[in-house]
Amino acid sequence: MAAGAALAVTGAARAFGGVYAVRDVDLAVEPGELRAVIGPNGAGKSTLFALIGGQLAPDAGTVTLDGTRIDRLPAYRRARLGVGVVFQAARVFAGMTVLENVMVGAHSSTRAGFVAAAMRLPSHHRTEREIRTRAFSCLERTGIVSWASRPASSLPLGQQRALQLARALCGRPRLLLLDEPASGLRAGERERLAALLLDLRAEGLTMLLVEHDVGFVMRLADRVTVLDLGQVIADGTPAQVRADTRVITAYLGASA
Amino acid sequence: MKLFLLLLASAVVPALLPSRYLATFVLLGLTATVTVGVSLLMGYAGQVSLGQAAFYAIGAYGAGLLSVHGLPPLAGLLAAPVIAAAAAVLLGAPLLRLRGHHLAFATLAVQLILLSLLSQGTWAGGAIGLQGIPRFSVGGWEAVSDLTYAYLALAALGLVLLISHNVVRSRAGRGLRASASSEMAAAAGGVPVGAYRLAVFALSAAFAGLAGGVYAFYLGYLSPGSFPVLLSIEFVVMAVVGGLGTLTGPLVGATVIVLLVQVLNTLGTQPGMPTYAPSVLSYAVYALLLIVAVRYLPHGMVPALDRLSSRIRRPSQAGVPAESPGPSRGRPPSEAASPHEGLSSETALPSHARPSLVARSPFLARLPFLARLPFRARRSHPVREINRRSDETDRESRRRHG
Repeated sequence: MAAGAALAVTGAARAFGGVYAVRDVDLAVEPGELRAVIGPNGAGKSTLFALIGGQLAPDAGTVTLDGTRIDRLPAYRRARLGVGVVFQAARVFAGMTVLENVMVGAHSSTRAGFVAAAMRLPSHHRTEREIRTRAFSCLERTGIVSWASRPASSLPLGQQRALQLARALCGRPRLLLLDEPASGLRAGERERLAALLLDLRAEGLTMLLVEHDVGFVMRLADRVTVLDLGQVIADGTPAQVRADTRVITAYLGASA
Repeated sequence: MKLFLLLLASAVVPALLPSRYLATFVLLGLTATVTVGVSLLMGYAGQVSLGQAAFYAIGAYGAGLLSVHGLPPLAGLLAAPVIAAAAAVLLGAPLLRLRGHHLAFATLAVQLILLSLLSQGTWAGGAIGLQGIPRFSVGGWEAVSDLTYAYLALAALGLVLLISHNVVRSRAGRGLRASASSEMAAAAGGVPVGAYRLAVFALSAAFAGLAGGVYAFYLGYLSPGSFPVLLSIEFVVMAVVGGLGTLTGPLVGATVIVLLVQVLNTLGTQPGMPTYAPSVLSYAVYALLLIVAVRYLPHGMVPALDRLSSRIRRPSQAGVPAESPGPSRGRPPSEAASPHEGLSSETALPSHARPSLVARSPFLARLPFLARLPFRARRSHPVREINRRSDETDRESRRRHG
């Protein structure tokens, strides 16, 4: 494990029905780094994403966030430790407004439970004010503040993605995981997303981006990890990865 | 706000009612109190309890036994919701691991067990019932008249509505509603889904327990027969007919059904009616009206009325479907986003694979335990879900790149 890494994955393995989706994966992401994980179909990208986010538990190996082991923790505990997640599928909370959706994201970094809410204790009001302010600023950042009071499920796909991003940011993550955030977006939306990700990187947020769109990744990422058949086949700067012959045969060659 | 005006208006009703109707009013207030809890559990947390009358009974027997053994009635009444909530936590910890119809049937089993315990246990008066419960009193003041109990029931209802209102509009309430919509995304936002489910289960049990406490002092006598399984089902029906996901829904549902049953009873026992009239009326007409409600008011009465009034207010937008149903009502339109955890299996199945009644009625599809009966083509599992997602992703990418 690299010392001082914000996120370190060592020897991670996960099998489905005897077939390894991810096997012996090591990954170390430095603080403030924007790391991309790419790979051809069935390379294990989504599985790796779920192992870090907590949607799946690894069969073997460890995941540490700033030195704390998180691989056995349920997803909500990981969120409290600072793992923010943007799923690829638009998992917005139907029946709630855009603002409420984003406010849910603040759960991981706030307290105040049922009793405070039922009795309307001062702590409830304080938390509500704080969450609301924070949610509005996240909506502004992602450019959907004008949709705040709309039902979340009425948003078009691009805005739903932005909503998920705002929700994740509202939890003030230390590590932001994004699963194919650019897929299905129009060119303009893609540009805005790229600009926002660069902004977040400039602020020192550590990010792990699972992406299929190689062009999008090569432009943004500090480093790129390439998975194939559940294993890491290359790891380096975008230029190094682009020149790697194994990558060219496994990934670019396969789909070209 | 509308809700509390409604409550305030109903505060003058007992004073105006002829005294022979007061018993019905007390019953209605208590039933509505329980139904608010059921609606909170179903509408906001996406869980179904078919054993809510068990917690009603636990509260009633708790208050009754404590005061029979010499504790002041006020202590009994305060203890009733606490005992019921504690029972819910003990039962819920293992039960809430079960999902959908499993939980519904497990709560049903809990009630059956409780009923047989109560009718066997001599400490609870056995099948004859628990007798000699004193009237409710605080200090030297004793609640004797039906009118006092009517206001006591109304106070319980008001308290329960206030708590529900406050919880729904809070950090915890948002977490609950989020987990009912997508468990995975809620957990990723830091919501402890399991603990919240348990908390709202306990809260709904506390509401039932409080109503049970008032019931015990009002009647002064309790028997297992007062808490049949049918009562639990009635609570669910009231919550659904009134409209899930609203706070006025349970009030309207309870009122309509309690009054309906009373009217049918009165009608059936009129002189000159045949002897079978009461049972025919109370079952057949009741069933018929339920079917009508299912068919024409699939989301319940309150959302339907809301839609109607917004249509009247803004006739120009009447035809715009996205505008008319409120956001928290109706079926969530983007259930497709969470196929493995949504409230209905509609998106997970081809329509021909589903039983026609469930398929055709959004009302039935909203009952999660029905939607989860084994008509599903495949049961989803997080692992399979992730595989499916990555398959789709890969397919989509192949299309884009290849």
